[in-house]
Amino acid sequence: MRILGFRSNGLMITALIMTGALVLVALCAPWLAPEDPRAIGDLTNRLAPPGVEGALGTDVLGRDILSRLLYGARVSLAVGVGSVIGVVTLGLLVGLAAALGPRWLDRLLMGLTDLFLAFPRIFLVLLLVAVAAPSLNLVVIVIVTTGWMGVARLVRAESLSLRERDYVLAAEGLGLSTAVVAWRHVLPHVVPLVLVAAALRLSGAILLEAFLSYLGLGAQDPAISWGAMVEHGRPHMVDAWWVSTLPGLAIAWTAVGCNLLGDALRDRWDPRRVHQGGGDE
Amino acid sequence: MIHEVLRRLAATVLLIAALLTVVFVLVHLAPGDPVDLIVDPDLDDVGRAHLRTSLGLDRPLLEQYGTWISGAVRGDFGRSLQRHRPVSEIIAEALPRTMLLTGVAYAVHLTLALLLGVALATRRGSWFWRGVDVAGLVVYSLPAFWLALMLILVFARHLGWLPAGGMQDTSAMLGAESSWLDVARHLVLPVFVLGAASAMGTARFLRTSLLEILGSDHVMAARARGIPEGQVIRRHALRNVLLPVITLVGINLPALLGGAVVTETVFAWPGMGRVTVDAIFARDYPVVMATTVLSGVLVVLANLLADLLYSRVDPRVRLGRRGAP
Repeated sequence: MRILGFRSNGLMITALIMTGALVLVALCAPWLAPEDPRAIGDLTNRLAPPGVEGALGTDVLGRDILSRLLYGARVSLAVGVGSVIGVVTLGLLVGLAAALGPRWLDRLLMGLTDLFLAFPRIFLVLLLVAVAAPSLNLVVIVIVTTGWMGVARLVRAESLSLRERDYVLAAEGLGLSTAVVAWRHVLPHVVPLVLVAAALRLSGAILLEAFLSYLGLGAQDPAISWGAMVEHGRPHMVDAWWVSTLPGLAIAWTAVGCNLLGDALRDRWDPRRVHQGGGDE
Repeated sequence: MIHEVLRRLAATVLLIAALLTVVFVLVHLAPGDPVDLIVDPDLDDVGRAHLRTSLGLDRPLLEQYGTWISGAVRGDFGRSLQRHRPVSEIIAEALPRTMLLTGVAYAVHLTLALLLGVALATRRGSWFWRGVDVAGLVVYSLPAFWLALMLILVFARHLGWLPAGGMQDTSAMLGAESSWLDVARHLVLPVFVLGAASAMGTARFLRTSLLEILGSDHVMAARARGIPEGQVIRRHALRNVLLPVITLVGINLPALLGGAVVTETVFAWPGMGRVTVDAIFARDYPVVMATTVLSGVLVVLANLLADLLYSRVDPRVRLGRRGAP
């Protein structure tokens, strides 16, 4: 990849450092964590401030917050990445089918897209969570079923314009099936766009998981989620600020890193930026 | 034009009917018995049967669907299982409170976003505004529920300047008189979380559109005529930004209503969001169904309004003649 210019490069480097550190922490949590994140401490160690007992203090059950934060990165990233992969796959399928399939399918799928877009997402999410038992798997399923519409629209619009290109018309003229045209000739050109969309949605998915777990509708007890940690510390917020504050900072770090990554990828790959003389290609 | 408006209205009615159907299907075709969701599993069979009858769950699904649709059209969403009152009454109380919160938050949001967007587009070189840009991105990325908690911790618990939650002081709730100042004090923190913190996202969107317009031919022509830069921005660029702003009104409403759920939950603001979350914990699904449908209807109506406005403001756009975006 070529260097576009100092600013966008700095953005990319910052984004990669922030998200890279996170991935590293999530992968190496068992080696980095000083304590067992689920080990309940004795009575005297409850709500110990940072520096006294463990580097970042302990929560109301005397569990080491630093260790819990490190392990929490796993849940956050797994749910974020997992649900974004689901969102992108579903969005790609719907978008390609709408753009390249028969006209009735296009109308049906776009009608469905409009319908799902009409709900403020969180209401639909809460309704879905309410009719099933809360778990992290459910959180992923719910994020996917309420989040595919934007990608579907994006892919459809891009595929519609690709469809008019000479090489796609030629491929169709040669008698290739729609599926082959979609897979070999349209999909590869949609991928950069979709990657940007995926990166931009990552922080949204992570924040949604955190909020659901904060409400108690996401991660259930043995699982360690930053959102749930914020909620555990809430009743003791005035005496022990660190219990709620630190996991929130971890969520914020993740969201900022993902948003920066999305911005940096968009700067590189957004076709409009390229046309404005970005210098790529 | 009239024809197009009617067509658009018909489509809106269809969409609302589909909203009602989706919510019904999601609740009734979900695995498991709704009765299990409502009551504790220890309830005996007689109690269960009684509950089923009183909720109408023993009737055929199609009949239940008919009851749901015909009721919803008349604004009748059944009775709340938790509060033993008609759902419509609960919503009639909660909706104006959410409107107040989101309305004020939206005004703050748009004002801030416009100011910031213009500043970011026109002062790109300055380090100060670059700093603002980065700070804004950080604030924009903060988890709203956590930001709300932190604000409560600092401004309510430690400094004691503002109330920690609710809509009125307890004294005002006991007495009949509720003062505007009291409500306004309770609004400050929720409005900041809902309106101001997210303004940076909109501001960045506006900056992009503004930069596009500032690079267009008519702006270059205006500059070539020697018109001062401030005037170019006000007269030639900002006027065109009106269009994306109108679109934003439509696009942002779902996000704002969603944000209201988060904000109301943390600040105990007794609006639609708080009612919904409470109802979810109480398994009070008539209330959840009603608030979900209503939030969708609000969004659909706002989109309709934005479309109609758009076609009035921009002569290039006529309803029903939009190609692929």
